[in-house]
Amino acid sequence: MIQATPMRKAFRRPWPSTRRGFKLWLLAIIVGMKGVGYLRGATSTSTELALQLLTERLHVPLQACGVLILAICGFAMFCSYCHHGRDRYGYMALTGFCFSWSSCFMVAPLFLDGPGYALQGALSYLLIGLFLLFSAADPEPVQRAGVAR
Amino acid sequence: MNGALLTLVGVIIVAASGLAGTVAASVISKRATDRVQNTEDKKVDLSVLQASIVDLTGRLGRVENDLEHERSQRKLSNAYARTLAQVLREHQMEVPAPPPELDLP
Repeated sequence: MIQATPMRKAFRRPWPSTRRGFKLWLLAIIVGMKGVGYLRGATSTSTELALQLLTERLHVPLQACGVLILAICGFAMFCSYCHHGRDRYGYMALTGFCFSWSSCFMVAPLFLDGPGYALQGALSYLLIGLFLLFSAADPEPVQRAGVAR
Repeated sequence: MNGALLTLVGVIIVAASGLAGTVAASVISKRATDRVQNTEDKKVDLSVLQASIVDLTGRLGRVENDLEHERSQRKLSNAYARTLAQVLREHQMEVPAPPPELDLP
C-alpha cells in the first residue's frame, strides 16, 4: 500500500509532518553534515586511515564519497516528506548506506592494517542504522481524506 | 592472504552489509505499513458491523411493535369473549369453550 501525498500537504511545513518522516529527516541531516565535511576535504588523516579500504585500497577520494553521501541524504530527505508507504524508500537508502559505511570503518582494523579507533566510527554508524531500523518499524496512522492533522 | 584478496573480502562485506540493511529496512517498513492497513480494514469492518447492528435494531423494533399490536388485539378478543360469556350466563344459555388461541391471561 503506497499512500499518495499531495505536494501541498507534504511540503506545507519546512519539516516533515509525520513522526516517521521527521526522524528520517533529522538523521539525513546529521549524516549529510558528514558528507559536507568529506566534500569540503575537512577530514583528518585519522579518518582517511580509518577508511583505508576506500582511500588506499580502492583509491576512491573522500570528496566523491561526500557527493554520494549528499545524494543519498537528499533522496532520504525528499522521501521523508512523503507519508507512510513512500518514506520507506528513504529509510531503505539511508539504512543501507549506514550499514555499509559502518562496515567500511570495521573492515580497516579487522582485515587491513587500520587503526583500532576506526571501530568507534563503525559503532556510531551502526547505531544510526539500528535507530533507522527501529524507526522504520513505527506505524504511522493512515490519514483519512478531509481530516486535518 | 594478499592485499587484493583482503580488499575483495572487505568490498564484499561492505556490499553485503549495505544490502542487508536495505532489505531489513524494506521488510520492516512493509510490515509496519501492512499493520496499519490491517487496522484500517478492521475499522471498515467495524463500521459495517455497526450498520448491521443499527439495521437489526430497527427490525427488532418493528417486530416488537407487531407483537404488541397482536397482544392488544388478543386482549380485546379475550375481553369480548368474557363479556359474551357473562351475557350468555346471565341469560342462562350454554357458554361455549373459548378457542385455545384466545386463552391468554
